Amino acid sequence: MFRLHKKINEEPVVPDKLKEKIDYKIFCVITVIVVAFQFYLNTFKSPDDQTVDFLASLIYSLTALIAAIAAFVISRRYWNSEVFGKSYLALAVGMMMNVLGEGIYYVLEQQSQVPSPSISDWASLSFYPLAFYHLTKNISFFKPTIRKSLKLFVILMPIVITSVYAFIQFGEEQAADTTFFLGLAYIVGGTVILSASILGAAVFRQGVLGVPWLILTLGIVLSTVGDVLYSYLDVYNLYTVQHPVNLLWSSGFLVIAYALYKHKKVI
Amino acid sequence: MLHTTHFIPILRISYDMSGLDTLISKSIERTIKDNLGSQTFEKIEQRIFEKHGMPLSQAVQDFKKFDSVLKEFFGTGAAGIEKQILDKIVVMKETKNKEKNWITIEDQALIKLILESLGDEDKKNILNAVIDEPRIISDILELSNVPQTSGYRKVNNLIQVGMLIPHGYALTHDGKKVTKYKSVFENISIEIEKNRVTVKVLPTNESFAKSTVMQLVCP
Repeated sequence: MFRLHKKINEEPVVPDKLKEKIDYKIFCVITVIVVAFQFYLNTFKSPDDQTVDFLASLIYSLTALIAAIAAFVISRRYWNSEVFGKSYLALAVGMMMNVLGEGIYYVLEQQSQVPSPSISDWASLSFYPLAFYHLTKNISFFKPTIRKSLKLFVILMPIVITSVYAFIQFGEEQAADTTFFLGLAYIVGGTVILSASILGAAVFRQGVLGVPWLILTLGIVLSTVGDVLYSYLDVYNLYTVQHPVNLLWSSGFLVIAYALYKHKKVI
Repeated sequence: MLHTTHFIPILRISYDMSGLDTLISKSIERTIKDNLGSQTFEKIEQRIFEKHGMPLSQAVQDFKKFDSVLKEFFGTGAAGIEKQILDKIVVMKETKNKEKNWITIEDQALIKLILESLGDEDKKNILNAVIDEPRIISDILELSNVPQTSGYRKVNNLIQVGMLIPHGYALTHDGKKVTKYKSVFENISIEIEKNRVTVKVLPTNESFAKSTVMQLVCP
């Protein structure tokens, strides 16, 4: 009797406007996982320990793989569709190239060969054009009217960040060698996709799709800050596999995976 | 809490609807499915139904409702997607005579639908019978020499795709009101150049004025 009464009172309500909220607990979980892992890595005394190398590579590859699988799931959902299907497939392939790049890097390092610059960089760098294709494919289909100030911001941001980096690195090394251009390529790739993702988040900002795009932008921000920071650390020879910069990449990939889950949920 | 509604989309033809919008709604459906996937289309369709209680085909004819749901999903991107959809469907051609609005159909599926209707001898005769003035179905069938058995089916099909639109009533001898129908187009021109078929249509002034989609394309 009580149950029947309760059911009658529970009238389904159709919301006036669709809403999607960000679950901040997910960010806390991601932070706890990557920070805990970083603490664990720091328990090893030497950064040259092979176990540290292996574990650092493993967490990077695993988190990128999670994001790749999430992107594959989304692309399969919209299989054969011109915009969503192709763009998410490109993102998935891009994420897989990160996994491949890291795998090659690890193998070369174990064989005492030079891991970078090497073919591993080509694999890792191919993530950027694929991610850029994903972002621009979506943005161009929805053909937004973009404010001039935003346009200016997304054009200037990569130029400024890249110029500052190039100036500092060139001043430090006094030579435009392969390492210099490689570092520059990562910075250019990272900042360009960051600009495009900001544009994407602005396009969808008033719709429910704006939430996954905002989270995606956050993931790309983390990853790009990681790239920029790594390049600076590399200039001053301060990078080790135990450096906290690794946190940014791993958390970036997990945040991107969360953004893809949100995308699947909203549309 | 959201409730899940299962429904079968139906096509309701009323006097507020333009045959042009009915034709175009089918292309919108295809454009969304081709670009954003069937799942996205189903989500949009489901939301339109739960919010406005109508299928997408009807919401397209009340474009503000369709637009409001697109905005809910895609935010400012909705304006872009609408333009994109409409650009793929029709391109307006400038004419010297401002009163005549020739439309070039760009959407291949829509071209196929029109050509199929004109390729069928009976359907072509039915359309010819109502190109100048509206008639009731029995008169249409009599004038076009189409047998009643298949004739009603073909007329209904033309109504459903939007090629025939309701236009006024006639009173029968026993005082009943019977709907009269008219062709949505005044004229159709088909051009074949190499492998490309171009279909240009001249909608009646009334169907053009009633079409919310057309008003959006050429305000």
